[in-house]
Amino acid sequence: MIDDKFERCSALIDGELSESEAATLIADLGRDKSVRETVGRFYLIGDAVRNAVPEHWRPDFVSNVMKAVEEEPFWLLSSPESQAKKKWLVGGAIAASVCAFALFMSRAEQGQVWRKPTLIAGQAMQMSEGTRRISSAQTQSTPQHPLQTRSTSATFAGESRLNSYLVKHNQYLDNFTVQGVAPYARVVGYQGGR
Amino acid sequence: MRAQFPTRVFAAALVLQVPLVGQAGGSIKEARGIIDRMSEARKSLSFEGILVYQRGKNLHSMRIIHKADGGRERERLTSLSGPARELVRDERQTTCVFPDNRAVMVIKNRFSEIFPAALPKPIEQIENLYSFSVLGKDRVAGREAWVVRIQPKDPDRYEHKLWIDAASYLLLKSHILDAQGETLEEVLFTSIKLRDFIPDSLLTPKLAEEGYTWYRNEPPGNQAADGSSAKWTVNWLPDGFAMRGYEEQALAPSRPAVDHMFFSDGLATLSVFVEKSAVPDADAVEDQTSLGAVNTYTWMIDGHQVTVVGELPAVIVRRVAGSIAGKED
Repeated sequence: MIDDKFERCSALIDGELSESEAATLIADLGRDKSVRETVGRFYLIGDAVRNAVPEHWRPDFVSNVMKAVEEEPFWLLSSPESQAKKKWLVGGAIAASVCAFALFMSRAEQGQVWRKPTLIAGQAMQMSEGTRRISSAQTQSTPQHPLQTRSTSATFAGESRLNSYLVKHNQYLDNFTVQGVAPYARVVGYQGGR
Repeated sequence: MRAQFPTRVFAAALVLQVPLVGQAGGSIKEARGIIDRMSEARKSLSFEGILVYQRGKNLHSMRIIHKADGGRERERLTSLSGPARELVRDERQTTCVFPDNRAVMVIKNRFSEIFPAALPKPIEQIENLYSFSVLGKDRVAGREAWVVRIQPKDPDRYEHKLWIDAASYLLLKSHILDAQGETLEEVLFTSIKLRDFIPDSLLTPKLAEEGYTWYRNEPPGNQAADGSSAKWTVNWLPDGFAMRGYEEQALAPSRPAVDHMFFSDGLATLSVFVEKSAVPDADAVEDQTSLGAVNTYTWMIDGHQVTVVGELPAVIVRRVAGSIAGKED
């Protein structure tokens, strides 16, 4: 699990990649399932570290994550900075097993093949009375830095959210519609198609 | 003569077994009869087979074991291509196994608790919205099948084509087509065998091993069968759509509770998900995606991210999204 790809994901999250490296990894997010899984794990670990998981999840979830991060063996590397990062990477890898549930909800589990989101800027939208549109997506279409952590995370988080919605949507199909398409064939069949 | 006897018996059995639909362009009544029997067949028959799901150029195969026993249905699907996946479901819960993540998720099925058992017969829900015709016969998985076309009466929904086993009335193949007749999604059996008996051991998860982490997504209680407690309204829906369910539930760690409204016309389905944005002032991202016959549309309303998911044309999904508003207190 500890390989260059894992290390690059960590560096992406921390904003430590060069412009070209970041662009390459961001492109990999769209193609490589393992990269998406790894980035998702990092975000969830961060939530657990900040104790920002919902109350109704397992009460030992956060402590398990922290324990996994802290207890993993720590490899000797060339510099203290590298050593510290390596410990985090190893811990992050092991903590990934604890965060596996979140990955179920991520696009990796659902075997997404969602078309990449198209940011629609300034397009007219028929709205019902009482709604208002917050703002368009112009800022994301013109990033100030290739490593748009926020836009990257927004894209990734958006796809994770879509996949959880699909699971939930499918849960209703069997109960309220003509018994046509084999229920859940879409869920099982949504696998890495890149 | 001995050679003729089996043929006469077979022919007689076939005549008695098959409904009186022999030609393409069978009547609506005949199509209705086939579809009604199809809906019941799955609830009463046990079978196993290999299922293929195709969407565009992506094709995935899976094994399905389905058991119907005393009015109770149970089913297990196992992926045969790509990463291993396993799904086991019954009327109480759905269990999903993901070996690559060493995780098992159990989702409780709340519908048997909440909604009345007596739902309208399937065909009655949709015959005002769709026209039905029998296109003739075809062969799927080595079995003779009726081909039934379900064509929408307006452009707001997709066409469905069903291949229904002439002997058992199980669905063998289905297509969802757009207005141009292009196939958006296909599910079909490449092999299927009816079984008189399926042991329960074949319906238990097999991929989960020791050391896997089990998660039970027990939703917090906030539900109303009629959706009266929903905090959002959908002011436009295609004709025939009605709310069939409402839930408020957190769908993932570190995410707020999501309002989920489910609508259906009896054949097509639509879900609306509303989730408070973690960053209320975040730049809005309008997002439209397509996955086979499923289209989604996401945008922001008053600090909430609204997503519509439906087996409907993208323009319809978007129109529904645009009609969503918060309920006034």
